[in-house]
Amino acid sequence: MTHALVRLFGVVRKEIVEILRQPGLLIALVVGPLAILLLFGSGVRSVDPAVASLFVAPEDDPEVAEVVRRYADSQSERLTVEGVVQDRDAAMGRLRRGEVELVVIVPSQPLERIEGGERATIEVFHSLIDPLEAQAMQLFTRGAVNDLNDLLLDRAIQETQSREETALEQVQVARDRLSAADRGTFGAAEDVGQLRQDLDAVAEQLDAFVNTDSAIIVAPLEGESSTIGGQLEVSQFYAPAVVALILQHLTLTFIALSVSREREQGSTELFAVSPLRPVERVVGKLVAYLLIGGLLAVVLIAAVALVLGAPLRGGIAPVAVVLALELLASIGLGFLLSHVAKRTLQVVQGAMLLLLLSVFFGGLLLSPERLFPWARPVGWILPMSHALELLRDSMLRGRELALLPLAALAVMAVGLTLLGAILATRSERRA
Amino acid sequence: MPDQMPRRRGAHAWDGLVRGNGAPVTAPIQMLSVDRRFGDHQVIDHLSLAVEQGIIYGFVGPSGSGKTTTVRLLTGVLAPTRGTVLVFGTNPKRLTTRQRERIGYMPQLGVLYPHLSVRDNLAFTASLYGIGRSRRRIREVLEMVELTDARSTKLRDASGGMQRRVALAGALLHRPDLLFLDEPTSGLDPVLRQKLWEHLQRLRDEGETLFLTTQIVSEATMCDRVGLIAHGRLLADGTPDDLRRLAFGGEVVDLRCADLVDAVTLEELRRHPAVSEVRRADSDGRVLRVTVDDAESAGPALTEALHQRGVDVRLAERYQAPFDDVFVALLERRP
Repeated sequence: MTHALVRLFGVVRKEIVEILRQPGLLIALVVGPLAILLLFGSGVRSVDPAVASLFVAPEDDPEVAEVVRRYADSQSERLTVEGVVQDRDAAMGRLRRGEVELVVIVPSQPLERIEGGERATIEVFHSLIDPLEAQAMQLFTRGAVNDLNDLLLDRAIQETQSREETALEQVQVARDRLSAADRGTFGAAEDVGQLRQDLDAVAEQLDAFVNTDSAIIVAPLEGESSTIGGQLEVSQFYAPAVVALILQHLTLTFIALSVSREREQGSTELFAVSPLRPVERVVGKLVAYLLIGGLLAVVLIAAVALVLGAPLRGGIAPVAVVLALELLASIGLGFLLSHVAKRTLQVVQGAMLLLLLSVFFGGLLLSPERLFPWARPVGWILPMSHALELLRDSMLRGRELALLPLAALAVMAVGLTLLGAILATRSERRA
Repeated sequence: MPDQMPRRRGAHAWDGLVRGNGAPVTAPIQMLSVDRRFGDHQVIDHLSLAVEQGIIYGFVGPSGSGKTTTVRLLTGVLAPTRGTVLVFGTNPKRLTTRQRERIGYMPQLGVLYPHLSVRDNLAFTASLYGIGRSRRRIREVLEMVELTDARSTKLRDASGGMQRRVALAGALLHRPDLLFLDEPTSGLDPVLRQKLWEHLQRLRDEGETLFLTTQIVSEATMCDRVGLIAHGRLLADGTPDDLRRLAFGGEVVDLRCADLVDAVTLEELRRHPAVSEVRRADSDGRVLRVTVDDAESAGPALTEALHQRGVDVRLAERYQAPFDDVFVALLERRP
């Protein structure tokens, strides 16, 4: 029994001492993820980001345009109103170009349509492809319709009150004429004719009001929300993120592991003696992982397109450009990781931390707009965050590649690859 | 400096980089006053040696003596803290591609890829030396190291001995002029070890220069020249016979007598001009182990001297001390 306890204690002690003797491991496994979570927790905004929006008010209906302006001004928390315009096509053009995310088109003469017994439709177009945000936009549309209905109802009641005042005046005139008739001063045939006309007018007005659908009176507008480019399934929305994340993670992990394994197993010693020059080895690895990563990218894109039905609305060429740049940047990042992390275990830990950073800050879970401005640059250091933005634009929205993220990704691709390759070559020479 | 012995072929010392006739020495390996430190720990201490072309140079020493560090200094994997290292007359760190193509290297540990097959590993190694169409050459070296049947085996599934042979095959693929082998026989069974030595000697006969390290002291006898290293210092450098002579102060002759040799005769033998040391080599006192300058001439002279004292010498033979004894004796002589 005593011997068993000694053996047991020996194992327990060895495990604890082994962990404590590796402070780097503790930092990477505990402090690293915790720090990332804390950073993420403090970097996320509690309110929804404002949506850049444009209102289109009817040109021929200044009163409604005024109502729309008042409404737009009241939405400053939820919306960044870029303006209230009259040109519907120009507004839609700006939406397609990504200059605004939301266009609200208010129909002309909504109150006149009430009299015709029909509802006018507010059209809400947006470019938000995140299913959660698209759902929020439907709610927004409903709220906007309600708010505008309230404003219009108020205006309609005022107008109706004004009309009823006229009707009252007409009724009063009729009463006066009837009183005159009672006194015998009312007798001219034309007076009787006028009285009949006035009563007919009042009756007609009241008849129209009585016959109007009450539901249309209280809610003269209805809303219709739609995404430019069509609706997306949740899986389709996440498809570009999955491609960008897997490509980055696998490429950088593979290349960093390859370098660290060769260092650990001593292959670098063989290389140092052989005619293989460091630059040849580094370039060889780069080309190999470009080919492997390229094949992986093809498989991933084929899988998300054929299995998940993710669209390629912008065509395959922009996607290929983005993935090629991301691949290069990831290879560079892999070389850097292998330079920082000397052992294979450290490489695995480093790759895991980069994966966590990518999930939280790369735009996979939340769009960068949902982070505070100070937290967004964390995602900028990751090739996938730029690639994801470009892939979503091209694949899901069918837009052309935006210059800024494309330039950022290209700079990362060239910069990281050169830096990683130079550091790797230097390490080879030193080894 | 180590004890230097006269050398059997193309003998020279480091300071004789130019021969007496003015011709440059063609030693492919030269080290002069080389130190190597790792932090405060001096691993190589003032090491000088020169290895001429076409020999097997065995670098023998206990574990941790600095053998592998020396190989790494010679292959350019490490730079010396002080001193000069030359391979083919060039600093190993600055060897040209052509010079590197003339070098084969078998590191101490398995440095090849465990997930690749034996053949794939060799194909990769061949590519490092610019051998594009390597299939035939790989077949040849696999036959040479008797691994033809294991060519498709993944390295991780191969035994330790097989892995060593694969590494050796990799070092031989490009027919190098100079071969560095770091403990090539460790992990090999005696039969394979014997075969390997036969092969190494064949390579030597074809003109290759081999610099190898070993902990198996007895293997020193298979080398043309041996350097004995301990604690980073070269204790001795010469042929195996030279080292024996150095260890025991000369050559050793065993005299087998018919009867017990008495103490007086033993004392007289010690005073013989050819003798430097005499001791009994067996428990019944009939075998005398005599250290002399030259065993060939001393054997008959000593036999005659003992006959004159009435001692019947039945057999006088040169004693080849096991190299373990030589090694221990040389270590004990260490200042």
